[in-house]
Amino acid sequence: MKEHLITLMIILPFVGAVAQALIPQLKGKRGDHELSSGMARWCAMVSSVFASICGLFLVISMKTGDLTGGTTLYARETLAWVGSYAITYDVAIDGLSAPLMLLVSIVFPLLIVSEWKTLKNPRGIHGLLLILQASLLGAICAQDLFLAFFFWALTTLPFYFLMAMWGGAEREAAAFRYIITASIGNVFLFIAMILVYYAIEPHTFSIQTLLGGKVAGKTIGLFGHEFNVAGAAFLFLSISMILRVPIWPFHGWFTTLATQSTASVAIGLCGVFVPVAIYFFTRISFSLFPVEIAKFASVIVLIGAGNVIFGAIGAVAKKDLRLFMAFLCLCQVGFLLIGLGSLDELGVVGAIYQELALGLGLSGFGLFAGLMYTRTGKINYLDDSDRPVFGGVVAYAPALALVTGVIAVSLLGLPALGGFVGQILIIMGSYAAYTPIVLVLGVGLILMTYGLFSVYRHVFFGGSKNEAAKFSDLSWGEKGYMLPIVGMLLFLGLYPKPLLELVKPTVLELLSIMK
Amino acid sequence: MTELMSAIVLNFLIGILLLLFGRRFSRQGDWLVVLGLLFLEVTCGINWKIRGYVLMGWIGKWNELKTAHVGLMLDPLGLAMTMLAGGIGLLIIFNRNLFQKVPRIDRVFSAVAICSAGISLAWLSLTPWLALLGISLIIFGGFVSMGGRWDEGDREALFTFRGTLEGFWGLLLGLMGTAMLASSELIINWNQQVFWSANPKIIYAAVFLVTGAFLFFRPFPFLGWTLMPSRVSFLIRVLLSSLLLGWAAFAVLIRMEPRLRMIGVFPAFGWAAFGAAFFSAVCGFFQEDWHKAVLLWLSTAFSLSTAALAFAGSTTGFSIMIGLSLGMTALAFFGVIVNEGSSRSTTARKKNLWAKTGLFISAFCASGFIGFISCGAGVGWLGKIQEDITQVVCLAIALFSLAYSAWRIAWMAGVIRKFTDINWFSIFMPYLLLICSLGVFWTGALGGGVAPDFRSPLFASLLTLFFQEGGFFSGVVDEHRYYLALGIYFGPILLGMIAARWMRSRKTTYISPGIAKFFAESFYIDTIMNSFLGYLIAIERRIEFILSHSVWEKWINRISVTTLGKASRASASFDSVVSGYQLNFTRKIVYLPAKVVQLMQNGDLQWYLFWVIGIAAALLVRFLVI
Repeated sequence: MKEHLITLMIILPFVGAVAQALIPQLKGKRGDHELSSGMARWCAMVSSVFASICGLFLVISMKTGDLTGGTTLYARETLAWVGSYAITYDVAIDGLSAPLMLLVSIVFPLLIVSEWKTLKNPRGIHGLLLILQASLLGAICAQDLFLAFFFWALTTLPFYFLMAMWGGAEREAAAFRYIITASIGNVFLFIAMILVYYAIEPHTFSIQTLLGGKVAGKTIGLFGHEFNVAGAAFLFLSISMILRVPIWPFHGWFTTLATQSTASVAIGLCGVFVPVAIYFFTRISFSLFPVEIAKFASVIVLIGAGNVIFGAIGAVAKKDLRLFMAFLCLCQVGFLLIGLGSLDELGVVGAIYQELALGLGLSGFGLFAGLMYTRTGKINYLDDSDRPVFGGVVAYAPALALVTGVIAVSLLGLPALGGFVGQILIIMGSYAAYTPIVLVLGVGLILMTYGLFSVYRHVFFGGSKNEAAKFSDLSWGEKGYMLPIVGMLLFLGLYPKPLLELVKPTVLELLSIMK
Repeated sequence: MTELMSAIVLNFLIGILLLLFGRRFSRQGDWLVVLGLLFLEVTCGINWKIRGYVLMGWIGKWNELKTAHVGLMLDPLGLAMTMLAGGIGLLIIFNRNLFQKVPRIDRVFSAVAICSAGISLAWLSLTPWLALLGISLIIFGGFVSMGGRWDEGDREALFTFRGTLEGFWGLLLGLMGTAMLASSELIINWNQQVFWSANPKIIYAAVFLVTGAFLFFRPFPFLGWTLMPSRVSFLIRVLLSSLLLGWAAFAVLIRMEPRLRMIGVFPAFGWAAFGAAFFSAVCGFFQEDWHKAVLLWLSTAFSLSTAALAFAGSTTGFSIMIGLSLGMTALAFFGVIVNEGSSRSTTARKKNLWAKTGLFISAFCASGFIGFISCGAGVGWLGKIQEDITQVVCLAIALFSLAYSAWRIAWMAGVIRKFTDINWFSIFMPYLLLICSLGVFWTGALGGGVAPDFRSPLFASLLTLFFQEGGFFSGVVDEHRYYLALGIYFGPILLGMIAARWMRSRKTTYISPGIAKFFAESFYIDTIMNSFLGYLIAIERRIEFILSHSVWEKWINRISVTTLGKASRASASFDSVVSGYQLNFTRKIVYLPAKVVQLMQNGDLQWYLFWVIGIAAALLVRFLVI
């Protein structure tokens, strides 16, 4: 039953996307197409919510110690796909993927609700969001390299179309830049995958079979030289990730995309896609290339440190709320990389936990930025002369101020909120492994605090500007999609034990393989 | 323990409730807070003689190392400080007439409840994690207390922003330090006696934690918020955002003291604290606004208390901290009362006399005069360190600075143009603070701990109960040293009082306006830091521009377009050549058969009929013959 549930979770959004697109144009009482549009919206919503319920049920029903085939996999479903190439439909969840499944399951229905009143081709945007949800869930659960690549590459397309069709004034350029970067990244990932496939006998794409450095020591002859397959594949995988995860200074595509996209797409990118991308890198590299990870851990930490510093400074310097969010994301990616690169149990567990907390925090911040834009048509919180554009919003929208405040301090790691647990574990882990790195983390946190507090001050406090008068507080619908995020952040901060106990065994297993 | 935890949670919930619905329940709000605070006081009283602790896991299990534990500890020190902080909360509520000008008084009540919960957690916590959570509640409470002015103007917005930001920085450093200590597999449960070795990792971690805690005192060079003008109630600034925050931070320092002493970080911190005290005192000398001078004075006093903790131990550090801070709080209260009102009635004159008396008694208390708890602690400290001339000189300078500033503040606040018409209750309430700062209250001895051998037969010493130490003079055996210490102690204080009297009718710009402004604005550190931040932002924007426009659009884009263009042109020309050859080859192949077909169709090849008929005839003959 649970095995089928995981498949249902992946398929439902696809089905929903197709079904809502096929609903015929029906004229309502007012003679418009509101009836069919409404049906399509509800169809999208229901499929997304049901997929999410499947995901939540699976994570809640997971127990530590549920072992399948010697690994900590749960609800595994395996079917033959392309037998001649040993490609299988192999999906399952474990401690590493559970937080990300939660993230996708929580955020995507909220994104669909946030686009409820979109006028410009709502079916298109809902359909693409559903395809994105399905492909991200597929990429998270896939236990077969080819399947993982399939879903991973599939995520590129919805983003491209969402960007190119609903984005800002420079959407075509941003979408083009994105698709080029992402496609090159996907090509590198494909090469890495093929190298791994042909390196071992019998050829396989199964991550569980390849687990534990089976590729280590294998060589391939090229131009009269023997090349280390694992090293080369790890290199290609890393290049692929650099092109798909915002890494300073290769982050141009990301910031352009974040600025030119609608709120939901920016959230999908910063709040969901980036944590999933880090997870994807962790899953493949820790499972397949333990030797290489151990060898290049310090490089990962160094790249993370660069992201923390430049991301934090960049966030402080930005006047555009979405750009601010993008740089905040860049900085937090640095935290995640430092946690992963520490190769310490606490650091890695913290990074995995933080993927969820960060995703929720950034999603909340993105929704806040979207609400600002919806109400005022402006996204810059400071004008060209660094004067506040909004100001005094707290008087008009106290509930929005409260919710945004909670989200902001969670991103900074205030005790009892989601961001705290992940960040503290990352600091613990990285301090044990790389003592001086705490200075970088400290500077990053101090700058991030300055940036977030600065945004909060300029938007909510001070004398009311003309823009503030356009403000109404959160409607019930808006509360409906903001409060689950706040509730989840509080839960993650106050009672982290259940999720940490799910994550820990898988991380320990991967680290034990490495050691 | 359970009822105490319930009282803390109740206070927090009352605070949140008032924050969310305060406007609707503004009349019931103060009573709710009073009930919450009284419940807290009563539970502290009930648990006074109980000793114990409860430890729980937060991130991880309670019995694991390298994780975050939380728990509560019942000890007299924590309970006493919780009661005292609750008393401060009640003082604010009962003196609400002093805050009549505050636009949203419900937010002040909410802040009082939240801060009370926070300080209780800070002092009763078993580990730094919960203590820092308590401190974060006080920061939040301080933020809420400024809530009436949030949307008033950009200056007030900046004021709230700075106050909260600086507190948050301290919190982050404190949390990082605690995390680093926890990652070094140390037990940071304050109820357990453990040995900490002085290895670099532990020292660095301790530096983070202590620096974070120290930042809550708003010390030099973080004086920006202290020096900012604001319309937020002065007493709220003093009580919620300075005093309670400082007390909570001191809880972390005093609980960590044995461990920090073990790893040897204290001397360095003691000197740093002396330095911070000196610079904030100098900044305070040049203030013309007594409100700012009070806040700077508190910062100086907390810094000096940290130095006392580092050099002379918990008893001395705590006594100096509590005595001085209570004295200045009382002075702030009396200062506000004296400056409030506009009556000229006989009753107002009487009230004024009482308030003014209170003001100058507070100045004595804040100077560490005889009878108050800080006096015994200061003399005892001097008695122990007479070989260390540098420390003696530093302490003497600090004592002079505190006395001078306290008396100058009293003179500035005491300049009354109109008489107060505040009610008698409000005038007498701050006297409670002065009673709490008396030496007899804490030591049980009438001499307030100044006389080394005098012990009260009536009262037990609270300090002995708290710290299990033998008073301030437990290392001072020589009578000569004692008298010398008395001389060194009172000399600078008297000098400070005289200097303050002399400066009473003089402006701080007396010597040079430029120099006075330089010192009054905290050595222009804020301006320098703002410029630095401006440059940092400008550099980042430049780098971003270079990366985005120059590198991507000019170079990578151009290279990509050129490369793709050349590659496609080469491919196209190759394609045309190949296609040409292919076409030519095909043409040659099909030429001959096509020509034949063409000749046939043109009629130029009519004889092919004879050829076909001939073949047919031959085939026929062949079949007939066979």
